[in-house]
Order: sequence, then structure tokens, then C-alpha cells
Amino acid sequence: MKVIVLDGHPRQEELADYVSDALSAAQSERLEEHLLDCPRCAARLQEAASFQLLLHEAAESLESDRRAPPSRLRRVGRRLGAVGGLWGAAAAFALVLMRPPTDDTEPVPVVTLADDPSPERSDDRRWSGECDPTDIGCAEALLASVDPLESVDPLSSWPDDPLVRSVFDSEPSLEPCGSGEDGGMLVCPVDDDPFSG
Amino acid sequence: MWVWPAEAEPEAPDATRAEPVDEVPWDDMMRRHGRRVVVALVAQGVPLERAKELAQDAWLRVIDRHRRGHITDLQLPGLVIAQAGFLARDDMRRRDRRSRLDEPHRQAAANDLSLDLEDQLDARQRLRVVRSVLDRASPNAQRVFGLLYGERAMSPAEVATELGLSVQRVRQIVCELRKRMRAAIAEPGRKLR
Repeated sequence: MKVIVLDGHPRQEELADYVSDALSAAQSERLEEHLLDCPRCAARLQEAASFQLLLHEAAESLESDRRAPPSRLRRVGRRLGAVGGLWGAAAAFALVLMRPPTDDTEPVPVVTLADDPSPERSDDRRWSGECDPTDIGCAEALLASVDPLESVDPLSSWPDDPLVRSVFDSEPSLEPCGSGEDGGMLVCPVDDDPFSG
Repeated sequence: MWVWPAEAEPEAPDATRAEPVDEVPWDDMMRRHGRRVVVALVAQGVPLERAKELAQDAWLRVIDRHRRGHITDLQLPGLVIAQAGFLARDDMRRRDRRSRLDEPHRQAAANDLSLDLEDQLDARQRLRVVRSVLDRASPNAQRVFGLLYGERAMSPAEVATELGLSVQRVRQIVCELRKRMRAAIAEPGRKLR
């Protein structure tokens, strides 16, 4: 590349090549000689140098953007996506569990919740609806009927717990009569009337 | 009571100091980044000849400090540019120390400070404009630009080899990008310094 000089002054491209170190040693020397005697071109060189620094900054900001971890918004989006995926997987797993066996030799029994023989599912309030559990509408209705507070509080249903119930069934003279200081169940004799004596 | 001083224990080696390492290819580094250091000074208004002297001084200082093991995190060319900038400011302080005591000059210095803040804001704005042009460019053009002006600071010939393009094509891409950037900066309401 030759240094093209117009009206005795180097063109903008030559100054840009100079600051980019794209000129040969001889070309750079020639340009520098001119710059020593020409304040106007020295000012133009300053402008070219500023622009060159700007390009370096832009390239570095581009590189740092590519290296930077994803933004907070993207992270939240990914987390929500992951949670959504988990919920989807859980729903699919629940549907697979509730699906009746697909044996061609036997008729597929439609298990209704009301027919469920397990004692834990004898609560009519919750399981009264008859529907096919493989039906997504039924599954959603069931999920909606679950009281989340009750499901996470193990003490909320202690009088109906089968184990506790069996104790009272074997000892009919006892009945639950409140909670102790530690939150545990208190059992009192049935005929122990505090107001009797 | 005077106590005979115990023999001084040999000084424990400073674990924070790195072992003197001279594995840095300084000649190659100076060839690759030398012009950028000079350009950084010229952009600050330092005359070219003085900028070359200060840049040379900055390189020598950084090399010397590194050989003594005082520099643990060697970042080039940033460290040399920072050192050269410091030397340039120190140079300016020495020259203007006497006149800085004058009240009019102090007022001028305050004005310079406000102008400096304006310059910084303007520089950020210009960077945003240039980045927007760069972000709109093709991925290929962005790669070329990044290799030329980024951390690796390759020459057009090196970029051409790396990306399998001709040197002429590399130059053409960069020329077009710079042209667009200049045009974006020079849009009405914007003025390139």
C-alpha cells in the first residue's frame, strides 16, 4: 500500500492505517515526518486515534458480552422454564401412575375414586366425585380439591389417623381431649367428666 | 536494661510475589501492541514524538517490574497503556506545576474538569452508537472485527488465515464497518471529536 498524499496531506485512510499499524516502517516514517510539521494533520491524527480506541473498546465490550453469564432476566426465564418442565414431568408421571393396565386379555377396569377400597381414601368429602382418573379433567379436579394446608400439616388430621383410630377402637373408654404443652395428643377417659366431681 | 539483639531471622519469601518470570515474548508483545500504546497517548492530545517516548518508557517500566516479580497479573496492552497514561499525566503536571498555582489557571482547570465529564459522557454515547452498528453487522463481520480490534489484536493477514478469507476481503469488511460507524457517529446531532 502506498501513502497517498492529497494536497500535501495524508488521507484519512492513511491515518487510520497508521494508527492500526498497517503501514510499513518506511511509510510510517514518511507520515511521521509530515505530522511533525503539520499541526492540522496532528489534530486529524488525534481524531483517528480516538476513533481507533473507540473501535478497541467496542470489540472488547463485544467480547465481554459474549463471555458474560446470561442476564438476570434470562436466568429467571430459564429457571421458570426448568420449573415448568418439572411440573410437566410430574403431571406426566402422575398420569402414567393412574393409567389402567393395558392387558388385551382382560377388560380394562375403570377405577373410580368412589370404588377405591383403600381406607386412606375413605374421605367422602374429597373422593366423592366419580370420574375416570386417566381423564385430564378429572385429574385437575382432584388436584384442585386438595387442601394444600392440610396436606402439609401432619397434625391436622390426627384424630382420623388410622393408627390413632385403632387405639380408640381398642380402648373405647378413651377419647382425645386436646393437646399437651408439647403439642402432643392428650387422651382422656370417656367418663372422666371434669364437671362431675 | 540493654538486651543483646537477637540475630535477625532471614526474611521469609513473600508468597504474594510471583517468581521472576521472563517467559513473556516482549518483542512480540511490543510489535503487536506498541502502536496502540502510542495511539492511546496521541488520542489524549500528547504530541506524537512525545507519545512515542512515553510509550517506550512505559514498556521498559512494565518489563522491569515484571522481571522483578512485582506484577502478578500481566494484562497487555492494558497495563502498558495505563502506565503510559500515568507517565503522560505526570509529565504534564511537571510542566505546569508552577503555572497551576495561578488563580486563572485553577479556574481553567475546573472548567477542564467539567469538560472532561462531558467528554466521558460523549465517549459512552459514541461507544453505544458504534456497538449498535457492530451488533447489526453479520456474524462474519463481527468475527473479523473482534479478531482485529479485540484482545488478540491480530493483523489483517492473521485474521485472513484464521478465517480462511483473503486479506483483501478482511480489509473490505473492516473498511465498510468503519465507514458505517463513522457515519452513525456523524449523524445530525452527533459530532466526532
